[in-house]
Amino acid sequence: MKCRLAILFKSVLLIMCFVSASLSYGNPAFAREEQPSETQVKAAFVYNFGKFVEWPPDRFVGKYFTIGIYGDDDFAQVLTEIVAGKSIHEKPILIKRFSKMEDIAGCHILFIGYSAKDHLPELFNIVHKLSVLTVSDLQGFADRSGMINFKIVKNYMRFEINLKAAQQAGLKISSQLLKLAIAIK
Amino acid sequence: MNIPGIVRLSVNPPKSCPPVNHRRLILNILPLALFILCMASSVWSYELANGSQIGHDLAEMSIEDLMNIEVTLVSKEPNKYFETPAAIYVITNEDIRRSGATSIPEVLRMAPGVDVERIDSNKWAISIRGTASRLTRTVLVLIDGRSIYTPVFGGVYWEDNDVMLADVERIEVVRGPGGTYWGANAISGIVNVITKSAKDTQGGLVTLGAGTLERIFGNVRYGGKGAGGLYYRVYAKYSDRDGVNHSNPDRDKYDEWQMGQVGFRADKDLSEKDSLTVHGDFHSARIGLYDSVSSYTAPYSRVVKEKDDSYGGNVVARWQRKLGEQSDLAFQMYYDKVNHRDILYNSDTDIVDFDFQHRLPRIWRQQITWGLGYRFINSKTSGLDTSFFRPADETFNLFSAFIQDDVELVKNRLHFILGSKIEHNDVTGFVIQPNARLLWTPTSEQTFWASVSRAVRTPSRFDYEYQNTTFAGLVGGSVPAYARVTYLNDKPQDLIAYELGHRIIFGSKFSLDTAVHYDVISETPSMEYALPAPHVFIETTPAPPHYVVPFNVDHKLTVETYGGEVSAEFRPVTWWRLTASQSIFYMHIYKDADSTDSRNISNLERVAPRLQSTLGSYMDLPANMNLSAMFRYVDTIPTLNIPSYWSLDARLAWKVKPNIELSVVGQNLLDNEHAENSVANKIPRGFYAKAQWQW
Repeated sequence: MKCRLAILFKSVLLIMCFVSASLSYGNPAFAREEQPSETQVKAAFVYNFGKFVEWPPDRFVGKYFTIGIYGDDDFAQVLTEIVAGKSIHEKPILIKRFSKMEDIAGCHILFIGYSAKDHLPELFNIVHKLSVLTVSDLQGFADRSGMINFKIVKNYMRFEINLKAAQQAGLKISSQLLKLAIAIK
Repeated sequence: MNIPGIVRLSVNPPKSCPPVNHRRLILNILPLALFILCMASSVWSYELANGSQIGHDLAEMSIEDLMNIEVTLVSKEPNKYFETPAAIYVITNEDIRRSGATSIPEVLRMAPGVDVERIDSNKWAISIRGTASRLTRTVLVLIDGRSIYTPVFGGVYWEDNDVMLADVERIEVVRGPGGTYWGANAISGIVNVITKSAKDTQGGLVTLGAGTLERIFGNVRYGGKGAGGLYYRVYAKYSDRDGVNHSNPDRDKYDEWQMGQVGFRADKDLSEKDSLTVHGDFHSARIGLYDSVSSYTAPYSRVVKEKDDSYGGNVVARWQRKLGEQSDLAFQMYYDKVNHRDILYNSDTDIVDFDFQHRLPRIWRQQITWGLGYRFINSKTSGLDTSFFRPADETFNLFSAFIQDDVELVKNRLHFILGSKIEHNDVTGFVIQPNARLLWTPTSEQTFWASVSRAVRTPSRFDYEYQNTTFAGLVGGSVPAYARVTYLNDKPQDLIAYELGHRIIFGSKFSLDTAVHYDVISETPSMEYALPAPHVFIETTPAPPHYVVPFNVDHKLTVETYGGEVSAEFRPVTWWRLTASQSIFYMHIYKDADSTDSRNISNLERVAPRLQSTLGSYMDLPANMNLSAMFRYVDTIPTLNIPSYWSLDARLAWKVKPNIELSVVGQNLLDNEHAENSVANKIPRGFYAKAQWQW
């Protein structure tokens, strides 16, 4: 009887072994972990946007290309990893995190996160004097005065561009990028 | 053979087993070793995937390639509400700020389907899809997970509960039964007030204001950081409100409301996966009260005017742990003490509550959430000889459990949600509240949902332990007569609700949200004669002898309600946002065959307004100013003789500097005054000015 129990125990262990093996390689949950996350994809997009936008020459002096982030610490971390050691328009990239709206200054791209959701008018007031490309994943960002707005359509990352806002800030957006936007406002 | 270090899979090989040899040993070790290897490798692949290898590859990809990557949606915010299979309206922090409201009841006016009636300066009657009375017992109100309804009468003492509105993240208003997630007593709806985390309220905030009705008010908040990722905030607020009854100066003096509250919140991420939140408040309110009280001796009925002090405090702790991509667990406990003073009775309530929730990872297209809860209530009351609870003091134990399964029938298109809550309380025993919902999202711009639910309102002490005797007059000029109402309704009110809803978004400028409902509520309180005709008896104690007509509150009414709400949001230009809503509500009441309730049924049916409309306009003006206006129309309440009214609240704000804002607010601007809940107390026009400074 005890012998049979031992055999039963071992076969169960073998079965569990196969199950865990299949789980680790076939399980969608694990497969998903090898796929990039939404935040990583957005960060890659922001890095690419920089390549397709031209800043007015007087605002483009300085050693670094600065990307500022306000209102989303997770994004800041992911972006730092993604652009490590890279450059845009031949300038090495510098990431700046802003915790207070009033401190926002001296950046070429500004990513605005969910913490700013309720304070957009004040934020736009601060940035409209600077030639900053404003990017966000907040709903309706490009309908207000934001320039680029992320939108997930059927699980794929897309973006909308508010061309007027960008032009008002003196920024030139390449037609290649405009072609890929799902909406131009 | 005994090889040290090898795990023996059997404790003692019995004599009937073949002797140990090398082959057998390998057969013993192999499965275990393989098992360990598999587990380890699955952990490795998890770790690898999480590394920055992916990030680096991403940066090399072109935009066209990036647009071909399928992203796993982690619903952070807005989409969450679009795909909720319930009639939900979210009031954001910006909505609150622009409305000029200074208390939660005022904020709720902008939600469709919510009937907010101001009784006087400090009392409110609020209901969702139901009848509003101060003792509305069918709306569950939560502030950061703590229920603020009092078990004494199962309603909310709005005059005792305050929140620093500037630090409110959002208020979710759900119309209809919440059933599974939120539990019993949510039969008409749920108001869920969520405050910002301490991380989002760093720095200082000072507000000062003064006005006509809002005589004077001030808030101070300071948020800071501690060592090791600890964020905290502390606040204090005080408000003094004038009475509303300007035409009756005597009554006006005893209609005031002074309230002070202090509180704190601390949040800390204990690890990458764990977070802990602790918060608490203490409040003290002085409320003016004006009521008539009956007694057995001359003068039998007198008006009592007094200022009563109520106070209370609470501490809440919540621990959350993220187990995976869409899997987490949360444990919460709180202690709440409310000492409430009123003319007809006083009550001291202590509540200890434990709540546990676990969301399992998605498996076989299902997301299962389940939870357990326990609440202990110690209720002490004291009353008058004509108004009291019997027994005066009592304790309650409430056990609850819930389970919910969200099945994705068609990927990203069709979800079926089935759930049930089971509760056990000392009064009614086991109560089961099942609900089923269907959510269909044909496109990312449109969603349909349907729901059938059963919800139960557990009787409160007021329903079956309270007795009130009211002086009715002198018979023959000398013998006093009283009407005595004894509440004997210990059966839970039972609601079956059928709901349908639809949401559509046109671009990002216009959205429309519709919901319709049909509900049957049985075991609704009815007023029955306790004695057969002539329904009266002579009582000799307490002296002098007097007539008493006794009534028992039983549960012999069935109520049928139906209606719907439509709300729309339109942003024609970037600086102007418009909102509109329309609510319709009809009620029919049926008496059971054996009911002796002699009240006028059509009167009872018209105790809630049939139509309510709101129209809001929010404009960003140049020079850092903004103007908001909220019109509302409330239909007549024939039962209380209250006519329909239009009202306008407006606010003009100016950001002098990025951190200093001045604002001027006018409330109830269209009339000198109008009645909302009682013709005796009309709500007047009011103005106030406010300055806010942040650093």
